[in-house]
Amino acid sequence: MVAKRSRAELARLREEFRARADQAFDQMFGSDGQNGLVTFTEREDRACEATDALARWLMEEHLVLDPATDPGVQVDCPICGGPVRYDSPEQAELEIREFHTRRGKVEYERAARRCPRCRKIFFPVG
Amino acid sequence: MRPAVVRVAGRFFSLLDERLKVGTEGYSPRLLAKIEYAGANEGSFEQARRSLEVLADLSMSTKHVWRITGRLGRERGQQRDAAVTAMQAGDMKPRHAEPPVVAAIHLDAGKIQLRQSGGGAGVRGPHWADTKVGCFLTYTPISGDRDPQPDPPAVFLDPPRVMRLCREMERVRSMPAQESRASKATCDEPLLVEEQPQIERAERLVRTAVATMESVEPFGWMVAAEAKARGFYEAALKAVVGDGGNWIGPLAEFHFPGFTQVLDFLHLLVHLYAAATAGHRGRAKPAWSLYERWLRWAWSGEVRPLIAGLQAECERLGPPPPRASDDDPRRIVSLALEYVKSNANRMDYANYRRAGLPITSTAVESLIKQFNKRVKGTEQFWLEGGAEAILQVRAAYLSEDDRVVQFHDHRPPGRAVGRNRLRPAA
Repeated sequence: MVAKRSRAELARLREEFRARADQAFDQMFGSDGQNGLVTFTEREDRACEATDALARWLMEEHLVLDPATDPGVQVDCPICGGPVRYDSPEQAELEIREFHTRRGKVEYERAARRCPRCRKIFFPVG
Repeated sequence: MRPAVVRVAGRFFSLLDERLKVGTEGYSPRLLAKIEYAGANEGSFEQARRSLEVLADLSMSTKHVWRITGRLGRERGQQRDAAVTAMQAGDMKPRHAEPPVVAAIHLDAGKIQLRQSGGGAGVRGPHWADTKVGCFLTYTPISGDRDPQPDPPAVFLDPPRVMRLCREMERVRSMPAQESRASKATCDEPLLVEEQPQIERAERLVRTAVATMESVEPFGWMVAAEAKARGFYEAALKAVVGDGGNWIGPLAEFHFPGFTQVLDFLHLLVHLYAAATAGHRGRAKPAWSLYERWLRWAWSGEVRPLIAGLQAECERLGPPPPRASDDDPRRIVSLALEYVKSNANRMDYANYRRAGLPITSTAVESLIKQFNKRVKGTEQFWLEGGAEAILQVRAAYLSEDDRVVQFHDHRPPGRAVGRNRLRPAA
């Protein structure tokens, strides 16, 4: 399997992460280094919220990068073994899966194909 | 391109999910493990839900905790059954190359309340049923070949403590949760505290557990499979410890022919005390004297004089009439004699101590109490399938090896989410 994204896309992703990390920093420190957070509970809650959001974003983007989320134009049906060809990967319906994780809910998409012979929907891997 | 695999006819799976090693429940594996932990270890599924909300910031319904715990329990049961099949086919291999030096399997039965399925809300047809529990323990070997404790412990020679011990044993064995709870509330002081710290004892190492609602035959295979997996068959010293229940001996003879069979000393003690006091009701001194003499013979493994002593007491009292009541002294003494005779080859206690083998089944009694904390309450009535499932998750968490983590790391994929529910592609 080959990673789907180019080096440029990875660089763009890194920038987005940095922007989000900046946002998390601002939520914590604000302009005065305290941002109105006084009690330990307030500080702990804010730090956890900010980093949980970052963790969820990391998980989701990492899943998007998985080459298995869309295997390409032609795949083999897991039932009859015959080829299932779509003119373009975009024709494959993307099914959203939601997951509860230790850091909240994340979503990822996976490409679904339908075999015209077996009339079954399947989720191939690249 | 790698094709997807159809595991079972009519079902198919997402290889992406397999690659991610996620199931169909909508929870990450780490979170599923937390749900299972709460479901297995809290007193009820409702309490598990509350704990998850407070400790893991996870909000879910009680029924969902119950369903997920049950599903994981059934999967663990399937894994156990696969191990049994491998054992029966002779394909089972020990998990570790190095076998334990001293290994013991403690067997006993517990109780659980079941209810009938169907018929809408509410408990229908409540009844008690047996659970069967196996406790697998390894020990450090002891040095030398002398009996580390030739004299009985002081606790067995102290009248009030012996009386309390016998009462406790009867209560725990005979019945439901509220009784054992009541007795616990009145007796805070531990009964079997040993006052002789200089005695060398085998140190307990790793415990694992097997529990089921199934009958003796399948349970025997489960016990054998677990023993094989832990390398108990290859251990230098190995024993099966039981309370003399009529199913334990045959099970041990069939599955564990090379193992030393040991009768739980505490059950023997209860029988001896009951027999000695029954024959001398209202006369504490001769009763105690008789008990002490029998106990010392039993402790040193002198079975012949013990049988002769019980025989003499039987003769003194006369044979029990055919319909003797349970508290008829003749019946009590006769039962004790029968018990000792039928377990005579499991009472070589001095040699068991020399070898570093356990002589009591307190390990499995304690394990059953830990199972009971989860499954046996006045308000807990299980369906049979649900009881079997909760026993599996409970057994996993009461085992001190890495089976909890291994299960979640190698959990097979379930049915694909989204099966047949997407619109046909254009």
